[in-house]
Amino acid sequence: MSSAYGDAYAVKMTSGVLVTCDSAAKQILLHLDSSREGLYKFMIRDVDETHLIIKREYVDEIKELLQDELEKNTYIQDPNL
Amino acid sequence: MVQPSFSHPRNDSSSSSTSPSPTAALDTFLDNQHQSYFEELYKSEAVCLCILRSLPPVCRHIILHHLWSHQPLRTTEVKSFVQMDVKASLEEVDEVMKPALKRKILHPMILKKGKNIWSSNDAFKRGLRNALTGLGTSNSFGVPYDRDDDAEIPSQEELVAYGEEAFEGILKYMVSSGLGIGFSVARPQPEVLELLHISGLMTDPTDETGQRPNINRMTITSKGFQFLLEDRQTQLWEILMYYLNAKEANSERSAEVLSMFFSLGCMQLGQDYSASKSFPHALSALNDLAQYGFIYRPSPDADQFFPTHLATALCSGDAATTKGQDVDEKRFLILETNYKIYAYTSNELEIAILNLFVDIRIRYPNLVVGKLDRKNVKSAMEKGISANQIISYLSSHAHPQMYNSPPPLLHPTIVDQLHLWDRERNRLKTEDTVMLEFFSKELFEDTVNEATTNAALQLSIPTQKFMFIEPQTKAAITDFVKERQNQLRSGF
Repeated sequence: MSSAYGDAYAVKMTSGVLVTCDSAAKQILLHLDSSREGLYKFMIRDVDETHLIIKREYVDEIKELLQDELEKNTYIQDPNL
Repeated sequence: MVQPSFSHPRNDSSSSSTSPSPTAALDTFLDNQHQSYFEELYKSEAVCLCILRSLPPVCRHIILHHLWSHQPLRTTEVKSFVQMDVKASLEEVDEVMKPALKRKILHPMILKKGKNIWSSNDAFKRGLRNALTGLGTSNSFGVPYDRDDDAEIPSQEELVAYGEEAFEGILKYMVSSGLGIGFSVARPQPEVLELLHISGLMTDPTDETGQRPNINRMTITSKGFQFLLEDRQTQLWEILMYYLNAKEANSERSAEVLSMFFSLGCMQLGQDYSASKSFPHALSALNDLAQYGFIYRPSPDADQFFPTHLATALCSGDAATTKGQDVDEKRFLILETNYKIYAYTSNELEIAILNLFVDIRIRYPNLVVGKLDRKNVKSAMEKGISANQIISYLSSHAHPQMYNSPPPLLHPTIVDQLHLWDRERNRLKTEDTVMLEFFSKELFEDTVNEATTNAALQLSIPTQKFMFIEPQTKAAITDFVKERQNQLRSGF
């Protein structure tokens, strides 16, 4: 396939994992990515408000990190109340 | 002429489709069988009767209406019977008769466009006629055991208690394996444990290959948890179908066994039957069923056996009546809008199931008080239980008092909260993909169409000319894109 950018019919292909989520979760992911350096960055492409492409090897790690982040923002009632 | 007045089947199917039928497992099994399998099944009158009962009412009426006729059934007859427009298309009529066609009771034959006749399956017709008139020699309704008049027999209540205890024993074993709480449960028979393993309801976590499990160390799987929340009728049919599939996997003939299930379903509670005369070809299967509490045998090698309520309620066709026996015992839950749950029960099994998603605070001899809280519900969800399953469990066990408040039965705040907790868990949906970025709108649209027709498209974003395809279709799509590129570049 032609990779010349001048060509009007050029197509660029990227492989990865498509993440579909709500926009709030996406912002958390962006934040996580921005706090990482070099090789540890997981984002390949910021597609739109609710979609991202990330590296396959980070999928499970990211899911866990997001859960942790969400957990921090949850109100847990004191059981003794 | 007075037309029979019942509503069009599609009008009332909408309400019944909301709750899955308890025989769903059976239906899937039967849907995958061939004509010859049904021919074999329909040799038994009991099967014919039970299959008839499992059909939707309109279908049932038409078949009964037509049973004694020598002519094949015609499209026009069906149309006038269900008060359908004479000009209605063949597909609409087909839709009405579909359940009967799927069970191979009727065979369609196309005469010409818009006209169709259905001939009945001879084996089924004969079986059902015999079932209704009491003829036939297959003994499929069971042969009563020839016992002495003064012999002691268990009462109906004793049989119910026996069946309940045997089946709940298995369920309790499953729950206790998952919770690590030790109420003293007898371990079920090795054959039962093996079936639980094959069906995927339980698994041995230390066994990595999944081939050689240690059946004494098994724990419950997420499928098993979901199984626990089903109602009893569904559980029974699921277990029976797992059993049948295991038989098939051993390349044993399952038709005999399946027709035995139906025969058991037509038997009477409290009556004793002779095993060797009723099921000469399925004796070993009958022995296996004893382990689940479907039948009771006074002594292990006696010819005499009593079906329990688990067996006799199998084919009653109407889920509401089969629940009838223990319906009051099952309605014990009061759920308040502040998430507090009061469960009026002393049944260990029910308490253990509640313990899966309720934080139990207080326990009295006949009352358990707890609270639905985020932590427990989320941990249940991690075990594979969905919000819908919890909701359907709560509503099917709701106390009669709950029906006194205006509907809906469960307060919307609680239902919504359960759904929110469920959704919180899966905020990310991830799938492998290949992303294609285009500059040409024309090429983009052609490729999207191509991918859509081949079911390769995951997502397309027309404003940015991005599209996402399934990775395994990458080669095919690449070829297509190259070809289109060449065509477009050369100006055609």
